[in-house]
Amino acid sequence: MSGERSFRARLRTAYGDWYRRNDARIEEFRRRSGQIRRNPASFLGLLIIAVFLVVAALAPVIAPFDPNTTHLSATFESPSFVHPFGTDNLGRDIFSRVIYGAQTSLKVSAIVVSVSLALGVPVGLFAGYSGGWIDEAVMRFADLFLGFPPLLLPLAISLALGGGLEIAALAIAITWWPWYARIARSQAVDIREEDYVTVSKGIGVGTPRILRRHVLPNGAAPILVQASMDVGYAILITSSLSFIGAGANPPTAEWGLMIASARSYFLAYWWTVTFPGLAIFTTVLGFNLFGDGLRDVLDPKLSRR
Amino acid sequence: MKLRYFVARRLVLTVFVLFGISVITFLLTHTVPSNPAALWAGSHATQAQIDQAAQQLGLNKPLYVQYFDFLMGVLRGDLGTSIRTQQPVAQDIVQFLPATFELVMVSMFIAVAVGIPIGVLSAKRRNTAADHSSRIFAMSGVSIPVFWLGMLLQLLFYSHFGLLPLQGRVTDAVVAAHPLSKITGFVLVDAVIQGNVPVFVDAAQHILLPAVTLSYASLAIITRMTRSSMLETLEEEYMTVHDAFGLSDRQMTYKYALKNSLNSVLTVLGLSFGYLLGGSVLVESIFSWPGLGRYIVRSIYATDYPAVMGVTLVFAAMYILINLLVDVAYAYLNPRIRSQGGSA
Amino acid sequence: MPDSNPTTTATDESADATEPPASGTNRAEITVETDPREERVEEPLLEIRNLQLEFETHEGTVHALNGVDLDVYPGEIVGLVGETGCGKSVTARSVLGILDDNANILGGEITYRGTDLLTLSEAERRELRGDQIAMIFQEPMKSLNPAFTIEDQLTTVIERHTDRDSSAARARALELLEDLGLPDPEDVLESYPHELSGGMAQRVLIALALSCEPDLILADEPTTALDVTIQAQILDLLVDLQEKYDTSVLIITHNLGVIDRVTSRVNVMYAGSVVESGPTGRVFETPLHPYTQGLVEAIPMPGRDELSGIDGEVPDLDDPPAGCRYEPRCPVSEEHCKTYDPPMTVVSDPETPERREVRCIHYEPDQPGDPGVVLDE
Repeated sequence: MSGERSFRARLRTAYGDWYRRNDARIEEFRRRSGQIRRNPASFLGLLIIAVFLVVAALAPVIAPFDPNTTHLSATFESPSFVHPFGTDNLGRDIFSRVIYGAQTSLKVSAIVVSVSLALGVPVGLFAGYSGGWIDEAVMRFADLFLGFPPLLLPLAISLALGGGLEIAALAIAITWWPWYARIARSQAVDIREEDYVTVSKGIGVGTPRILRRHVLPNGAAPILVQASMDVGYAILITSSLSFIGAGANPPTAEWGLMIASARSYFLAYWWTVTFPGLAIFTTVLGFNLFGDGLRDVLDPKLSRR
Repeated sequence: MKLRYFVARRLVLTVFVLFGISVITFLLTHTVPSNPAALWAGSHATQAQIDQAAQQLGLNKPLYVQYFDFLMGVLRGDLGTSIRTQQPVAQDIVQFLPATFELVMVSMFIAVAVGIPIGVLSAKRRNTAADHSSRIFAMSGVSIPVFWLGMLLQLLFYSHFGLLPLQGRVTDAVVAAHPLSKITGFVLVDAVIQGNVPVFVDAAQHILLPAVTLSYASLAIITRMTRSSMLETLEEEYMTVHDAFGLSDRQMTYKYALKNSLNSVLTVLGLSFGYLLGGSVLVESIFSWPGLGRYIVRSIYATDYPAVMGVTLVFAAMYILINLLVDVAYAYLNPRIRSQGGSA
Repeated sequence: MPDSNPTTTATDESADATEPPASGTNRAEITVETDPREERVEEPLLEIRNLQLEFETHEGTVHALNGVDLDVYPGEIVGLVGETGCGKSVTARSVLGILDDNANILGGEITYRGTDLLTLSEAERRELRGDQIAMIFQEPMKSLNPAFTIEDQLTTVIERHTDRDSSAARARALELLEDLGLPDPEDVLESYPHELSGGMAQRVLIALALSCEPDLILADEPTTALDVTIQAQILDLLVDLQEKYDTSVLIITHNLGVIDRVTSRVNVMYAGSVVESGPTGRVFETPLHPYTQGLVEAIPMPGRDELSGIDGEVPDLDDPPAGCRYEPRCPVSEEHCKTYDPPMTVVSDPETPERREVRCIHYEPDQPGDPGVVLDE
């Protein structure tokens, strides 16, 4: 009896402690999420993202048909109750393919953004914090990647490594990490002048720890904003790569690839390109709207890219 | 700091970047898992033929020697030979570049001529319906897949309304009836120079959809940038001073505020050029525009490495040079910046 | 103690001559039954009466101006002094009509040459700006457009309000820069603002203000952003130019030393209204309002052992006190002051024929209609 009570009491105190310690942070979080909720554009973005995530996660459950099963007797059927988005040149249900496409897109953009962050942020923070020739060297190296027009380097890398969706994702990440390195670097440069960093250095705290505990949390804001919008851009670029044949390979249900496959007949069968494209547009828009709102919330003074 | 000194500094930096780009391109071409020699020799080659190709391509030499050869080749203007067309890549590039350049220039023009005024208006009528709609429009511009937009426009203006041509640069029949000699390589310019109205109209009709499609994203960015830059400028104290001396609204906005705002826009222009180059790959493909973009797509389908790498190198070089020009222009317009050494 | 400024206006003498003492007794006990305004021959150039203004902000409504009364007469240099945030700049900007969009004028009049500016259209007010009423701004480096030459910025204004063509405008600009003591005026014309020093830039701003020969100049903290050594130069320059161009100047500042140096009359402002006004020398010698007294006490002077200040803080203007706004800090406040905001009362000062006014319950006559307060010797 008493053991049970003391267990519950301990639970209560444990949570109570956590609440008390993080009270300020919880308050901050509440305030900020309130701001996002209040801004109609970013709230819409949040909704779209939510829908996207749900669809992607539950694709096998939601999709009425198998995305790869062909029905050669039912090709090019216009949108109907059975096939809300119609069927394509191989009789596959476009609605289901769009749903599975969400899953594909989520997988790809997750790879792209996480690899870019993992590569770019530590490098950038380190460079910015160290300053001097390390900073210069790293930034010049990063500049090389930024000298290519947007689509071309991922294209070339993807091709060189053999193509395919995962390769394309990796190729994009290799091209993108310099952006994050840049942002992280400029944050580090600003933060390293702050008093709390100087004090930490003075009492002998090592660089990795300073980077982790001081520089990163305080500099995270613009990085997060960029990352949230980049999930959308990753989808955009992957679909572009798939469209020209350097990304996903058939019969993958990928939105860009679906549009590419329909190029020969879309003039007669408008639904074969309209819905996949709409999916790309809506999803990217959602991430952009949300990222924009996030930027306003986290720091209204952030310069616009 | 004098302008000359600034330009010299930036030039040195640019050369460095170009070197770096060539290294990256070289590495991609020569250190790929797949065997370039086998590709070159063709899919039915014997091992001996492949070995011979490898010898020919110099693949047996150490890497740095290969790079040196490659670099010398590039500087000589030799970018290898296209597997698909069997022509020197450099020659292909010269052949197809004008079409792409024309398309990019028209798109840039549209982006600037439409984007800046909308941005200015949007800033002046902040938070009104006009402002909100232009912001939504700008947001959609960066979210929409450019190839999809092109196809939608084709569906609408060709298939549905029948107003504009589907693809291509000119209608063969029209050019046959009204011959055009090649002076600049830019059809629109040549037609104007020679007073060839039918070809000009035809070419204009053909370039309209591709250019609008290609410009859309850049238009959105320029509008946004102009808007935010104007808003910032309008907050400045000197704008209040202008007002305090009774200057007209038009003078304050279009003379005094705009010049200060255009600085940021100029920076974005350089970036936009990159988007346009990258986007041309997609747009040319859809509209069968006979430029480098379509060339590179066809090269991809044929796994024509030399061609893809050659075009990538050229595009990158163009992009870097344009940005150099932008930086110089920026420094020219802003004497303050010169002494700070220029943008990072 | 600061001297009174020797440049008194002619109206002082005439006031003595025209109106004999009402009661016929000796001057020390003059009571004022007639409105002393009638003693002044000239009409004020600018009359602000009971100006009330508020700002709409995200955090709420800021009640910035609470009934400002202020006069500027032709040909004088008048001061408007007060702490940061008391509304002095806002008052000046209201005259020109260059407030932010979120400002609302709730009441009052701003009469310039007999016309209430608040009733004019935007276009009409625009005509006055720079031409009849001009402003000198506080931070010279921020007040000049960095993308245009000095020549452009000067000539555009000149051409806007006068009939001069571009070459005549340029000549005029050159002339102005010479007047302002700038060496190499040609060079200055061709320069961009960032190429000038702070002092030079401020002179350019003054030139700008004088360019169309306005009748009234509002100088908003003209020397605050400058080095101390330059400040004196600029102030003396202002005095010379005022005389040469025969304009009136309203100098806005928080620096009592500036007031003392150049003004003949001063208005003391606190939390949105003018609480005291009168000739500079007399106001410093014998401050009437408790706030002015606190200010004067706080001036560090040789011979004073301790530095004093005024206890308390300036009120938060989105929730200001209901009555007198100085009451929370006032050492002599009364219960009634918490709910009663007094109007300006005229006070008679035997040491000067000029009018002195103060906004304080202690100087109000016991009954309306009673003679006004008289100061002791």
